Amino acid sequence: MTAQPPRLGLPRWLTSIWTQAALIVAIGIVIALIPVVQPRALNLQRLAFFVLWYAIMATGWNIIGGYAGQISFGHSAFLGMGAYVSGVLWYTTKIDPLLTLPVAGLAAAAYSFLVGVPTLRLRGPYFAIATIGVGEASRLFAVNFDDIFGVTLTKGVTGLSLPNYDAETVHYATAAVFVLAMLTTLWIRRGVFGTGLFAINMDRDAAETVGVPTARLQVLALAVSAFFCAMAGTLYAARQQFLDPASMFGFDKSIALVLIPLVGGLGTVWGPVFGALLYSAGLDQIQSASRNPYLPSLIYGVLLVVIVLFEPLGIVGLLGRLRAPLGRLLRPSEGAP
Amino acid sequence: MAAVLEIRGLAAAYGDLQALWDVTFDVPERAITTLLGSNGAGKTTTLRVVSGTLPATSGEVRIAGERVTGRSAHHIVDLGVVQVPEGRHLWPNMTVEDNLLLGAYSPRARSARVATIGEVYALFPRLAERRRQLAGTLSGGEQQMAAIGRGLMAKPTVLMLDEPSLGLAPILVDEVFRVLSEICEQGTTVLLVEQNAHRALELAATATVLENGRTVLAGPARQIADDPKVRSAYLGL
Repeated sequence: MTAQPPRLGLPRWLTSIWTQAALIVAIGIVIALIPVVQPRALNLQRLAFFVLWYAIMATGWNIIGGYAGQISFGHSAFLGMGAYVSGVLWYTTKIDPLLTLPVAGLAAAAYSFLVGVPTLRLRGPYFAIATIGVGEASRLFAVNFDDIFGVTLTKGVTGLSLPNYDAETVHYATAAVFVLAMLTTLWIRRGVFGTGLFAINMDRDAAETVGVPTARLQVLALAVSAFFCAMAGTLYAARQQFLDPASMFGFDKSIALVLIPLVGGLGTVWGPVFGALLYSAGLDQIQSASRNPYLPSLIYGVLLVVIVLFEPLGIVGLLGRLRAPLGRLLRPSEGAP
Repeated sequence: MAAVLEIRGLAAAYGDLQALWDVTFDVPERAITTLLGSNGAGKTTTLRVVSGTLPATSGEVRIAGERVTGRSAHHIVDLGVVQVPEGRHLWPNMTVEDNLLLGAYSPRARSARVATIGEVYALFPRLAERRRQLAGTLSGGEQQMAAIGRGLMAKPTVLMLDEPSLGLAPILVDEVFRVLSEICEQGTTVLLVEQNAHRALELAATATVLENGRTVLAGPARQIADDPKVRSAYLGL
């Protein structure tokens, strides 16, 4: 089906699903090669990790928030869930954390089912408000379930220190999860599933009258979304080897996951990637240059206001606008007065 | 004529506010049935219960003999009972063609959607002309046609329309009624909720009158049109 919000008017060969998929895989390979080509560039590797990390989570968030239009302010719940499932398993049973990537993803998907079935009935701002509660309740669980019957769980606010792990291996796994997340979001966006989500987003009553199983699709979208956020949690656990409830279940993470797709381009395939690039790479540079910890948030806030006011499709929309004058420069005869 | 839709003792409520108390009527196959009543009589509520967007508190709905009360909305669409909602509810930022294609969302209709859209364009040549236009930029009459067309895309056996003539110029009302009889001739059962009782009773084979959430009259349209109460209350005669 072709039902989709306004297109950007890009050439068809570029927007074909196969070109896009190939592009995603190519980007994944290029990023994966960073430690091979530049083994000493640890800073670049760290930067690449965090760009991909935010891109994976924002891509996940975008499936429920951007496609289905159910804005969640509680996605840190799934990030934290994934991080702690893998972290605790690693700590207590010594299972390699990267092997528990799917376990963490499925655990968070199951958790999303639990919170999604009651909350997704809510419309408009009420779902968003409910998710704030979900995120905060999850953090409190992590704080209080420090151990059960003597078995270490989260260790509460002291945090969970994990064994060392090879950063290069995590880098490859992160690139792979990024490719998986992007292919999934592309496939959903172009298929019947995504069409149904957009129908719900634009008018839920109309979606019901044409036979879109609205409740089922939304719950499924939230589960896929949670799945990728949780895998990001596992990757973080393996790379940073330290987990604490305040950062893994932090409200600041939930907010970042709303801002990144909004700035990049809500409901677009590439928006979360552009947003993540700007958020973690751009603002990282500003922060280290200015030494003011609040400056990046300020800049991002101003950017957000500008984007909401002038370009609802975010960076993706801006690129689309740039295309027209660029095309005129390249083909001056066409469209000239 | 067999009844494709049987509604028996239906009751429904919006929270604490009971809207339907006892609605009972049959919708015979391959004919037009109209549901009449004043504002707040429960016409729209009845359609909502039948289409599964509002749960019934008691009573039952049967589609072709099968009890469907309590099924979710997409199940009802899969069974071939499709509603064209009041106020059209098109997706304004999508083209007419995309709106129509989305109408064929249910798996039963999806595989046939290319053929069905041809039939819809044949029925509404105006929509074919405007296929690339955003639905939000259509005139009121064209939007109503698009809404009906989207309903037809789901390949309904029963098409339920909620006030399709609302807010339309008289000439467009004629057009909508002409299309409804054409749809019926092609074999689709029509259940029509209308405030224009005159026109609806002319068009329909059977009619049901609701008052305060209860069926007060049901029968052949001609008989209902001759009923003295209906003549004074709904036809202004």
